[in-house]
Amino acid sequence: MEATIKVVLLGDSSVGKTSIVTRLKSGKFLAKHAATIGAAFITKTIEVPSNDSSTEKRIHMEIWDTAGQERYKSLVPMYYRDANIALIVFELGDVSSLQCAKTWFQDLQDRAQGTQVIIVGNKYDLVCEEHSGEVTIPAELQGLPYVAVSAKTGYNFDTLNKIIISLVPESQFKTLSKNNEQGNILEINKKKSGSGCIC
Amino acid sequence: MARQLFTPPITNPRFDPNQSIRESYKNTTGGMQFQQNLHEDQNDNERSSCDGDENSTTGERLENNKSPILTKQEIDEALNTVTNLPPELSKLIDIFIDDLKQPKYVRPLSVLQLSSLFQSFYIKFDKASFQHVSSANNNGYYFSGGGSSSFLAAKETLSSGLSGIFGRSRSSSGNSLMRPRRSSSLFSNESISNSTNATQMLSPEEIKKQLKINELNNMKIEKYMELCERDVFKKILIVGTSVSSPNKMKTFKPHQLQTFKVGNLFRNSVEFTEYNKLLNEKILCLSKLSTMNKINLIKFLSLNNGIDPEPKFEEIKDILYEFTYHSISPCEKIKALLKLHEIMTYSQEMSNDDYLSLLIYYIITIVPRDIFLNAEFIRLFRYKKKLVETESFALTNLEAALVFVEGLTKNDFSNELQDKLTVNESKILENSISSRVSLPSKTAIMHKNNGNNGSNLGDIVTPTIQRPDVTRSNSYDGFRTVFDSSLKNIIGKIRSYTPPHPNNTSNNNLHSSNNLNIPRSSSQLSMELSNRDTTEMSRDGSRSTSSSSRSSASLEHGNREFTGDLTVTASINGADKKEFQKSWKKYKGYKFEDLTICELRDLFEIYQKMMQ
Repeated sequence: MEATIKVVLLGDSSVGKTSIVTRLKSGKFLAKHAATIGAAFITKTIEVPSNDSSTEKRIHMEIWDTAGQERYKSLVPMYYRDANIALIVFELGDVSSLQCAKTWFQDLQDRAQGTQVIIVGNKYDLVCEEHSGEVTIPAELQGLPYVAVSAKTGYNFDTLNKIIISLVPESQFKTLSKNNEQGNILEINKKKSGSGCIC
Repeated sequence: MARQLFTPPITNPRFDPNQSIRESYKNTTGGMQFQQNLHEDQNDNERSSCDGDENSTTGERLENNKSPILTKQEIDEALNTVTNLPPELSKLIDIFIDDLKQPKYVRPLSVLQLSSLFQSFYIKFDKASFQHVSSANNNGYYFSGGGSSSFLAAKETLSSGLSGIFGRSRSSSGNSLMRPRRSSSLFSNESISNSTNATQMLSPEEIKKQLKINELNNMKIEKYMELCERDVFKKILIVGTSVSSPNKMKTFKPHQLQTFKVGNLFRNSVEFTEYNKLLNEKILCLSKLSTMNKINLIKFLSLNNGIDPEPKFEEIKDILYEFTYHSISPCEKIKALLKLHEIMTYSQEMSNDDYLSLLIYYIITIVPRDIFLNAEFIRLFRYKKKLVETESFALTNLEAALVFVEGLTKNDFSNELQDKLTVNESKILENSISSRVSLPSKTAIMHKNNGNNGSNLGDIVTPTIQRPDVTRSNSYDGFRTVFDSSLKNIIGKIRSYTPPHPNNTSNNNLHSSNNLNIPRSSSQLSMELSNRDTTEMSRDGSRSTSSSSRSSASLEHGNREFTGDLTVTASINGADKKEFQKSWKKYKGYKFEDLTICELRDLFEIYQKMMQ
């Protein structure tokens, strides 16, 4: 089973969106194989852990970075069109970037209601653990999945990946092309058997 | 001594089913594989250390973008021979283009309608390519297959199958304690103790061969789709975009064949051409302002943060010219766009903010003409199945840059610039282009087309184009004939009627006396009138076609009938008599053709009163 999803990163230009993309790209086993045209776009495939060994699941992610500067804000809807998941990024300890995250969420609500949202607080390494707990999530963002990460150190990216996996609906998964290949093999062999002569 | 491991356990993130299958059949190379696994584990540890994610327990794993089944040499050998489409596939393109050239649409097709036709054709061509490749492989197997070997191969496939082998391998490799048993059962002991099982297994070589063939087939189909786009638009370049005879082939000079004007496809959609014209003007205006140092583009776009656009300027310029002037098919244009993005990427950490700024800078300084139409051309005529991932992202970036430029106004710059602008420049930068030109909604059009279940290419545009061959029914004409005949009959009666003078009492008495002596009964009279009306309506034509003698007889008959009716009415109510006289006089001298609907209705009422 395989699912293809579009993940888009939203947030101010200084919150570290590109660093998060780079971290996602340069994770384990990825450095030599990631397809990219710069850090602004990468693809990544995740094997989904499953208790049922007979069912193999993969999630193929297309990760789109977006421009965070104010001048380009009106262009961002062109990027999150048809996105499955949006990572709204803010900087831990920066209240203004959190307010911007709220604005991005409202934009998504207005234009892309079908897009799932994950709130990501970046630069965990710059704040001590005690203070990171003091982040007050605005009321509008309450109830949304939230994770604090550090793109610099790679902290908590496992959790982020798990949240992404959990948000992929079961209906998104399709049978892998491998089954089609097997069908082709069977079909070809049937053809061969038809042409054969036993006697 | 450490136990030899053939494959990592299934719980290992790097477990690969394909690899486990290959390893399970390579008992003689177990030692070497073990060494490779150790090497990979070391690499994993090193990467973990570099990533700084020491607590990582994620199950994530990247899929190798390159095919693990095929080597580069095999791919090159297979695809380098495919330089042209097979004849049967090329014929589909000829049929499609010829169909587009037929003058069968009431009005010229808009670019969105054309796009729908092209996308439908791509889907059909994709399917035809698959069938072509499949049939070619079947033919190959037919000739290469031997009698007994093909039978045994089929038996092996049916009895074991790919999934069976996968299942066995997964279950075995998932438990380290089972390794010795698995090894012996799959290779040594089982093959010795039960030789019949060997014939039921699909050999590893055959599995590998089949996977290779499938992979190559997919690559061939992709190649065919590229060639399809190329050949379609090359043919359009030759035959032109107007509806005309396909036999009238244009002759081009060699250098002219390289130029394909995408604008020709948009000429029936004036919104796109107008938008493009205004955008060309604005880009040119901004370029001149930058050249004359009225605006500092680098500062305006914040490109002074370590990004220098000048070193790659000429290279970028060549690619943009290739994109706008020298490429023909959407596939070629998107390749140029991808190359553009690759060159513009200064580092792996380059953000999209920097990227957009740089792209906008190049667009304004290079001034590629009709860049908007070229972008729309890709969006509309590139096979949508392929316009995904990197292609979609690259095109979105270009579209975003163009949207930014079209939205620029003089208010976005300093007040000093506004004072320096000429009247024409100020006019060009007065408003955004989107506020002046509204492009058609693609979503609405696509939604309508998606809802159309017709498989015929022509059916796609049927809901929006009226068929010219619709003919009118004949029922109205028949009804009109009967209706006209009836009305003219009534008018004829009214015109021929001469009311009696009210002072001639002796005549009235005489008529009354005569009326009393009439032998026909009232019922007979009614029946007679009804029969006559029926006869009149069944005739083809009006009373005017009758002979003069018949006409005279009819008038006499009419007079008699009216006299009788009038007498009866007079005896009942004198007031009604006067009213009746007034009503018929009103229409005396009228022509039938001049009567209105209301007047006709009034005449019907008078007629009904006369019948009463």
